[in-house]
Amino acid sequence: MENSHRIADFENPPVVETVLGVFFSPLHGYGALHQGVFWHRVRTRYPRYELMSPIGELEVRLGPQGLQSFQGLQPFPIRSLLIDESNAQLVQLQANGFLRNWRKVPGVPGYIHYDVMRPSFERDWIEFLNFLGDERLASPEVFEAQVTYINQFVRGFEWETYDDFRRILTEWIPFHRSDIISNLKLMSFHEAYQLKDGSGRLELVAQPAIRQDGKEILQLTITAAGKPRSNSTEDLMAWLDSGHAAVVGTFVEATSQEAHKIWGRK
Amino acid sequence: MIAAVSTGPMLERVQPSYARSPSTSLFASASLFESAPWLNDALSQIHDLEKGGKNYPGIGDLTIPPETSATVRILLSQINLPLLPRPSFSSVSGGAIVMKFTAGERDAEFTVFPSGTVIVNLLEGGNLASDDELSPQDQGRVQNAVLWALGRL
Repeated sequence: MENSHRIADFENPPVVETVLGVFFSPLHGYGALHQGVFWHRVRTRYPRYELMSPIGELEVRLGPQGLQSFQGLQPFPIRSLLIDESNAQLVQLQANGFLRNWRKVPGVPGYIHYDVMRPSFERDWIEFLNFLGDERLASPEVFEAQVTYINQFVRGFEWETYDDFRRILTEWIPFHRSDIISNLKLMSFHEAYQLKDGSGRLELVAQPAIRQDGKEILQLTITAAGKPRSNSTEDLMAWLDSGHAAVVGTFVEATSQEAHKIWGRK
Repeated sequence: MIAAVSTGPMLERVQPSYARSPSTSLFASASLFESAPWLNDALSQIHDLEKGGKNYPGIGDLTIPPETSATVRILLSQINLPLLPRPSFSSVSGGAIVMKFTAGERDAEFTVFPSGTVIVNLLEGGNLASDDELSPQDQGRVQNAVLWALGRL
């Protein structure tokens, strides 16, 4: 197995979902039913589907004849989730976006590393491009590629009180001390930085939440996003490689060695 | 987050540049934490109960199994009300937790058992007004019980 993209490796990483995605200008002539036609092509790999509202801005207008257009495209914008047998890997498809996710599913072992997910994304993306060609639809005008890693720190495992984040996260995240304040009671933040190579931005979002299984968590989402040099698959994959390196490098820098031990860094 | 009490002009809400989530994982509204200070306190109380529970031979087993505290947290996630009096929590022999919202004469008291069973008692002046069994996922009924205690139903 090729593992040249492995920047850090953990036995039990806190990551619960990873996303490789690409957003493009809305495809002219592309409708909701095309998503079903595409699903037919990949149905052996992704036998299940779910429909959700699309990611991003959603504008639905009420007019004399009821619901009207969404930015002049479709009356009901949708996002299709095409899901594999394990429920852990899926493709998300909407009129201006294509994403591929891995997510942690109870009972499904293992974390899918980037060097495994990358070729799967590339294969599905090329399949999508071929589909657009076969349907005589224009090729996507890519405006943004994204790499997102979603990590969850569980109360009772990584931390007991919010003050514990002073030792889980490094000085990379500023924690304040003074004679006026004492314990840290809650933490959430949203930070955005420009990538040094000018290829885009990197964002960190920390938010507390209660998971569906009743666990209390702090979720740390790290996203790198930027515009590939061209619409070519080669440039898209090159951007995803650098975005992945930025996300994982930031995670390693932002979390302490003590935390790395908890997660079993190899 | 401390609720804004300014009477000055409304500021335009600044949208973060990253405004879309590609995540397919679902969890309770994260934004509730920032607008509902009672929730954070409640979660810390549950955590302390879970950590501090002991078995007292001859008196009762007050240890809290993780299933009970998980159900209580799911219950809390169904209450989408930013401003509430702080609920109180106590452990009951057998691994149950009693969560109580009190507002004046009214109490909404939830007893959560390790099996996942939730009994809600509505009390007025210390007298039982109604009791019921509910599912922790039943957002409408969980929230309505709290709204009743607040005198809003």
